[in-house]
Amino acid sequence: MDPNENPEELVLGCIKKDRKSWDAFVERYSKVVYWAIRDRLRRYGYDHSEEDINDIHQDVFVALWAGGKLSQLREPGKVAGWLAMVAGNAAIEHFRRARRQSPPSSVSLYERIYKEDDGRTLEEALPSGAAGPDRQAQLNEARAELVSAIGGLNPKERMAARMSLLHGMKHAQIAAALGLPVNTVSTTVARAKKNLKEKLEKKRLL
Amino acid sequence: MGKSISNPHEVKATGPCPDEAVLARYIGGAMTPWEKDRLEEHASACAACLENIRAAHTAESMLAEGALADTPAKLKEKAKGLAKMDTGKKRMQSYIWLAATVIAFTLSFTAPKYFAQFLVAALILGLKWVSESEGIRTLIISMDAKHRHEQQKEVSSRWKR
Repeated sequence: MDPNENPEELVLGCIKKDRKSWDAFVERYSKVVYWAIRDRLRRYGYDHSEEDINDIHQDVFVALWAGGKLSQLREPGKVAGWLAMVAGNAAIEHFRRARRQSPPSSVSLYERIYKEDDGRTLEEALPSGAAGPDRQAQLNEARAELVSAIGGLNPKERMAARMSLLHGMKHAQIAAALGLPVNTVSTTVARAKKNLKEKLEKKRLL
Repeated sequence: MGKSISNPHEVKATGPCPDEAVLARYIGGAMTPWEKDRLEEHASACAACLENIRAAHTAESMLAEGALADTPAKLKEKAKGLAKMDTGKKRMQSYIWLAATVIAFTLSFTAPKYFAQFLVAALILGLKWVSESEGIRTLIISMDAKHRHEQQKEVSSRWKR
């Protein structure tokens, strides 16, 4: 089978256990799996080693080849995106099964990604005097304010606001993901951010 | 539809989440308007799903731009090697050694005269079984993957009309 063939045929070849297709598939998509594992572990704040990444990488390919995972894919044109999700989730599952670390619960992506106009993350911008439970209460309050700030938006706009403020996605990326014009995304995010800032200031959290 | 949680910004799913295949259909624009509305309603409150969508989009664009670093060669070779493993044959060999171990162990009790000899034979055959079972981890992972595959089928069916 030609390694340059389209993703649909490559996936089909792998499902049919064609070894050449599998070699070409691994050659083409292994880097996606490798990147997605590292990306997820880094963003979720897991303390991990290169050995963990190697184990997860192999686990993913075992699930694809021997576990019948590839047959779940209904959108072979998005195989890279699908694989990135499968690999990212496998990384979390690896730590969950080993019971070595729980997903981070005290500091979320939100505090690390949301940026004030001066470039400080929300965690850096919150009053720094509080520590321990008080600090946790501050963070919880800030999170609740975000829910309230975007509460009036429709689901797609809420997704846009969260993708930007919580997940650090660029406006163009969000626009492509949601099928919205970039201007609409920018306006929505700016509105949500302004609303949030006002709420945080009102609560003296900024 | 996802249940609400007290703190939706923590890295947790609001559960039950759509699986990767359902999210890939959303990303690929292959959903009906009804499915799309339902998924957006869930994802707008689910950090885990949004993180998956982010990862998928980033991976697609980085792959298209050639911006992903290559995987270490040994990892790729290990993954390619999965297709070369004749797991069925290996499993059968492993069962043969296991059966021989059990027989030798049983004989050590049924033929007391040769108790020590059969026990040593059982030990040797047992070690052989362990050494032949180097793919056991792989088999366990693949069986686990199959099990989870079945569970996910059930979850994804909930996301279809």
